[in-house]
Amino acid sequence: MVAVCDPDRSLQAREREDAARRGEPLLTFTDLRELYDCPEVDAVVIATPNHWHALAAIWACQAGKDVYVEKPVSHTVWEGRKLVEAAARYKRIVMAGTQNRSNTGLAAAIAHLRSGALGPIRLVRGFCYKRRPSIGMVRGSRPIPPEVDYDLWCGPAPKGPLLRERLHYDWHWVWETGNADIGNQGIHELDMCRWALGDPGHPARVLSAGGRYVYEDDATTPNTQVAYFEHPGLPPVWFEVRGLPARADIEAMDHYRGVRIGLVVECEGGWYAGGMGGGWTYDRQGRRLTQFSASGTETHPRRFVEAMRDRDPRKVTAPIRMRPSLQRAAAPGEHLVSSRANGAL
Amino acid sequence: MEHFERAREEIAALPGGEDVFRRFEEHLRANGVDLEKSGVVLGPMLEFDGAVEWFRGAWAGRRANPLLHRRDRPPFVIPERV
Repeated sequence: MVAVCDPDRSLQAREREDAARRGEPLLTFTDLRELYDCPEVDAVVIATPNHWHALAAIWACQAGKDVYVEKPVSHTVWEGRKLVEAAARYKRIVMAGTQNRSNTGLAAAIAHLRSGALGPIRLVRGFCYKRRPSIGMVRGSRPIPPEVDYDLWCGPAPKGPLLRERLHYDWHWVWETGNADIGNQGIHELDMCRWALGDPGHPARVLSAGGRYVYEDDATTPNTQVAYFEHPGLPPVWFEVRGLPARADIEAMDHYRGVRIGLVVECEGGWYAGGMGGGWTYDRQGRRLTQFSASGTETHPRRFVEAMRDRDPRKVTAPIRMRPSLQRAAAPGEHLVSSRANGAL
Repeated sequence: MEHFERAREEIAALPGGEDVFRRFEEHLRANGVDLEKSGVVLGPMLEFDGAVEWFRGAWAGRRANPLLHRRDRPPFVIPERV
């Protein structure tokens, strides 16, 4: 690692100190355009808030850098398409941070299911049951931390007042910068659902319902959501997001056939239940058949480096072409809350 | 906000939807949510044309397609031609 860029100077300082402890030199920048001018930089890892992903990646391609970009690769569908075009035009290696694509155990499970071992697939269910507490509610706008260059932090998003307690992380729960949990943690599991279907293109029909229940806070994205995806000639996909616990008086989350964050693939002769941590197939009576252990996820960044060294996009296990997203699809009425997350394909 | 009965009807009409909505409803009631009062935000069934990455149908123009794009704040703008 030769350089770090962050509009929060306190985070630059933290990285400089870590590098100094390792005895390594480290360049630090506040504006990533200055980092992109650096000839020492061959490739960048983009772990910004979502609203910056596509632009930062496109600028990197234009500057001749290869790109590892965190999921979701774009905040909107259109800008995802522009990133795909930029990667092709500038002949850059661009890989998405959907690291489960390098999980050989999950790959084996999906190949097993797609071979028809449990009969035809009838329905694919994705789950993101992950506890998300209230982010609180502020009275009026909050001061921007002095160490943050707020103009750069906002980048392409509107530069409005900070209407929540915490600038960092909670941007996930505001539409101008985030994509709700279906486009955050959920993108991993939705990606698995698409994988189980054989990586079809976009769905032809999508529907979503939900809301932000129990809390009144500064977030605008749903904490409870169900979404339906229909690809012509393929089994339907249902995706469920829950940020609330199983009951009001406990903190534990619900599960479906043992899965809280993962997928259940229902086949004519049984089902698979699992995810990034591994899983099992079951027969129709619920008896365990075959275990598929998790392995290989940690090799994901290495796959990126191998693809870069060989200049071979075929070695990219998570190409961006497979990750367009529709999180911001539409809704009727004035309340766009859950329905704006209609897609996330 | 839509009445939750309408959401139930629309979702239950989809393959696998009846079970999905039943568990959705049970989960929220276990968290003390009065769905009759709170309602459900229900999006329309959107039809997507993957070839051009654009929605079609009644909700496409005014509501759905604008959300596929974001008006970037200058100078942080992704150009039409990259």
